[in-house]
Amino acid sequence: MAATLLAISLVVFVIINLPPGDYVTALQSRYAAQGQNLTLQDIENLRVRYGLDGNLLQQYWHWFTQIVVHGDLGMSFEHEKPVSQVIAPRLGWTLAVSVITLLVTWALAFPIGIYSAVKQHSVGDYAVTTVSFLGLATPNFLIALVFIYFSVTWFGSVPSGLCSPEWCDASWNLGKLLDLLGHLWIPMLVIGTAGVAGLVRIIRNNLLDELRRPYVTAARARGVPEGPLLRRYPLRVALNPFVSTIGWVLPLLLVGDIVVGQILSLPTLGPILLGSLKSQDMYLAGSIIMVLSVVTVIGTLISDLLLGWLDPRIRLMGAQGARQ
Amino acid sequence: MEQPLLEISGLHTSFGTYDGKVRAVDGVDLSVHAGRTLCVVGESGCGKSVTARSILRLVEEPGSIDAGTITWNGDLLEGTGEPFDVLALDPKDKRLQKLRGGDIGMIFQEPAASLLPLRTVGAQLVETLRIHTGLDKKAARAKAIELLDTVGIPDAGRRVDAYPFQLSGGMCQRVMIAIALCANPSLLIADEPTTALDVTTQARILDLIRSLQAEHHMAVMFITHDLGVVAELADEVAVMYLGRVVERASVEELFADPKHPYTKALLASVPVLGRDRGRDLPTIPGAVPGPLHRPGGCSFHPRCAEAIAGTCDVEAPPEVDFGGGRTAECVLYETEEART
Repeated sequence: MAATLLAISLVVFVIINLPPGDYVTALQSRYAAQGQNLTLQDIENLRVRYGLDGNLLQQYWHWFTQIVVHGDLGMSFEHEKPVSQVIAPRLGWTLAVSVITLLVTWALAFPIGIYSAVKQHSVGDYAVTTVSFLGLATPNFLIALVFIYFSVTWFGSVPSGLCSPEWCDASWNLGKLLDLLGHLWIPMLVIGTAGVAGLVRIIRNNLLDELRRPYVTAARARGVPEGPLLRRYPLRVALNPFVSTIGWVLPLLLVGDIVVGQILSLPTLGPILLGSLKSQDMYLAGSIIMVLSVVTVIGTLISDLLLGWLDPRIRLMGAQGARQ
Repeated sequence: MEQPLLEISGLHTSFGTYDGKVRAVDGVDLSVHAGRTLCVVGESGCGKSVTARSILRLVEEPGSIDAGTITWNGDLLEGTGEPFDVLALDPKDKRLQKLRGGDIGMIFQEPAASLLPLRTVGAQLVETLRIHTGLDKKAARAKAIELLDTVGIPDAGRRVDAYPFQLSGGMCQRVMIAIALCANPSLLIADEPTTALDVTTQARILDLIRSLQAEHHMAVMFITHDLGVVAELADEVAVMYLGRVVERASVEELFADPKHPYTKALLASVPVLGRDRGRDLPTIPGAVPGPLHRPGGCSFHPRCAEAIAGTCDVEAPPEVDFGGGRTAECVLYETEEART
């Protein structure tokens, strides 16, 4: 795991530094756009100040040791704050939006997927299949744009952010909560459609594979009633591929949907990551990507452990394999 | 003759495919008598497994049972109820549930695949026991261990917590038999239970089925393509070809005096140690036609050595009754019927 993370950190750092120029060149062009020119001396001073004067390896080493030894993610050039302070306030919102979206997605996708598999070739199944293909094929940002279009033409306002201006700075009370819920359903719906659609397909296909297995017929032949039969037999097996997706769901939870976040100006990490990449704010970008990688690795670990707990084949055959 | 335990009559089961309707079972009549063994033999695809599955209504989409009756007289013979037609039951009828796993136990061709790999064999055995006997958890577990012991699983107390993939195919089939025996069924349907097993295991499983049958006074309906198994187990035999029963006989009669040309050809193609040295094994010419291209007239006529041109390829053969449950579906014996 540690080795994986080390390799990821190196790759991340190199990729961030691949485009020509660095934060200072980005800064320079911004000043130039405003009609101000930086002297060579200014540029040199800035480079030294941000630690951009060494070669790539030195920069990497500096960044890496700071994280490992001091837990210091570095400074964000763009925000002129420590990276941790840029990320922290948004992390809560991101998690809130994502977790709620995820729970709603699961709550919708599970019953729909199961229904669609059990009643294969029924009208309901065809309807679900059609809608879920539409949901899968439509990019999230397009749905977000359509939403904005309709809310502007019908209500004359743009649904952005997670709270109305008058509530944003207020302390928590019922009014703010209601206001939040009033805003939350939009990103939930936008991000959720593709999620539900994808998950319905996964569950339907997994379950369809399992429903044809001999053990289902055998269980039916010994009188297991249909309801428990579905729950105890094919559904348990169909759950496995689903559990193994947790590894990549976790990082999605953290960063949120980048493009949708940008369009709906959600206070999530996604837009920050995009901005930092654009301005080559390498410590911020690097830190966010590193956090995501750590979460991915942890998520994979969690789903592996869950799989081992759910599936005795993995638990027991793995142990046998290790002994041989 | 006494009232049979199970009577199948005019059973038609078909599968809808893109190329058309495949009539897998095309008018089958069979009866199983209490405590007796009926072997159903035939090549792959002749409809023997589908017949077995139709009895418990296990035929799945796109298959459907189109016509026929399956009469269960078990309740009548036990004096607990009336005979009923399994196919006419509502899917939610309690009698169907009691039939599945209660009155009729069933074992399958692939024992390992017939058990859910994610649950211990004990859990699956206890589940069935509790459905049909209403035992509490502890009593069901004790009974499960006892059943595993009965079917010859060594160290049953420990094996009860094993997962199916930790057991061999033969052991899994023993577990399946234990599950089938849960509620003392009066009929055991065995759908090629030994095909996936090696020869020694096969012999042991057959021994087990035979001794359990004697012990529990069960009827057995045994589906197989192995004539050796038929000779060893059967009381009565039904030979199937392309969805129809072409010959019915007691096991002695069948081997001593096969009537239908298909049965004759089948028996001739069994190798006999010593006899066949140095010569080719006789085979039945041609292959089983696809069920979508069923030949007109007698469906066996293109491969039949005794086919009569102008008759066999035109008319469906009559079912000739020789008496005593002996029948053959062949035109060659048409006149004999008139004589008897």
